[in-house]
Amino acid sequence: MRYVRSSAATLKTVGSGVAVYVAGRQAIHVLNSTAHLLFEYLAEPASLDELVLALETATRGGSKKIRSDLEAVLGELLDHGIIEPCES
Amino acid sequence: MRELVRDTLTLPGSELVIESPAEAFELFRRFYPHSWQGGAAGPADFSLVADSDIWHIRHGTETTGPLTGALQAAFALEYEVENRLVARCGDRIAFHAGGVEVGGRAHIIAGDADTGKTTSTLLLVELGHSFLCEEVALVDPESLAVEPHLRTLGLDASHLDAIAKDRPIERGTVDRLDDRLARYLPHKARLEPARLETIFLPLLRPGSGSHVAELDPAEVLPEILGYCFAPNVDQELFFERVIRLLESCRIVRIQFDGLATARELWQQLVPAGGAA
Repeated sequence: MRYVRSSAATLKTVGSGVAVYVAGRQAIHVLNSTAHLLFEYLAEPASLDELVLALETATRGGSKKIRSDLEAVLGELLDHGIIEPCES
Repeated sequence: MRELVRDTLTLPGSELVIESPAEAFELFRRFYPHSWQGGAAGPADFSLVADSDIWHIRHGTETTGPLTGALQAAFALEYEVENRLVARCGDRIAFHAGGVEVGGRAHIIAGDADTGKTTSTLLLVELGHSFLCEEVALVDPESLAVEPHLRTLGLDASHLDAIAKDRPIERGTVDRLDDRLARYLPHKARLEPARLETIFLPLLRPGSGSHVAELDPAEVLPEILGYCFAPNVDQELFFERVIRLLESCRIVRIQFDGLATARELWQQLVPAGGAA
């Protein structure tokens, strides 16, 4: 499966952090650093493997831990309508 | 035959003609001691009507009730009036908050029930600061002006007794409504808007010690949105306004474990010259 940023999601700066407004749901969510990084990557569609690789490069972390963390964050972003699955 | 009383209540952004039999009107009048014009012209926006001890509120084509007794009727009218205030707040952001003015600056205390919000406002007034608002704080997101909303502070009578036992109440009047409920009427009030300087988020946690922390808007955005009344503008615009507002003021969490620590912390955080 591949994921992409939802067209309904708009990034907003909030103090020293960021939040995403989701138009269809009229909701706003503050993003932690991992979620923010994912949101930025997902301007273009990407698979979990591609995201793991990208984050591994960015953070030099262990891939096993990154994969499980990413799965959790992706799940939340999907639940909130911030990202969505895509075919391409 | 009950004597009918009419008067105009001035609230931020609106004037409401209130009509009621004297016994409930005199109770209701005491909730807003600074906000009456001393006369009314035109039809009533809210009318209290009584049949024996059963009361109703009429507003437009709507009726609220039945309500038992003048005090319950006065409380229900207050609830309706506060709803009207929030519904007509226009572009302003309505926080569930009390507040005081110090040196021309507004400090609002936002939070859910039972977090020490009203107690904090009372303690700040007792420290000599000017009362600015209670329950609803209306803030202009552009100018950051906080409108005075001078409703008396509602507390449990037993809690007010505990505050008075800890230290005598000197800068306000205690108005006991019945065995359980009381109001605190601050003697000194700010009658003009004041620019927002601080949003305090009180947290009463008995047995957990005291703690003060300055917060980043990103840390508290969801929490503070929970203290805002439903907006009258587009939701995205509302979020943006709240974000800009949070970026323009200080946000401070104040945790205390009882009256003594609360009084001490407020004295340190909001001294006579302004917030520390």
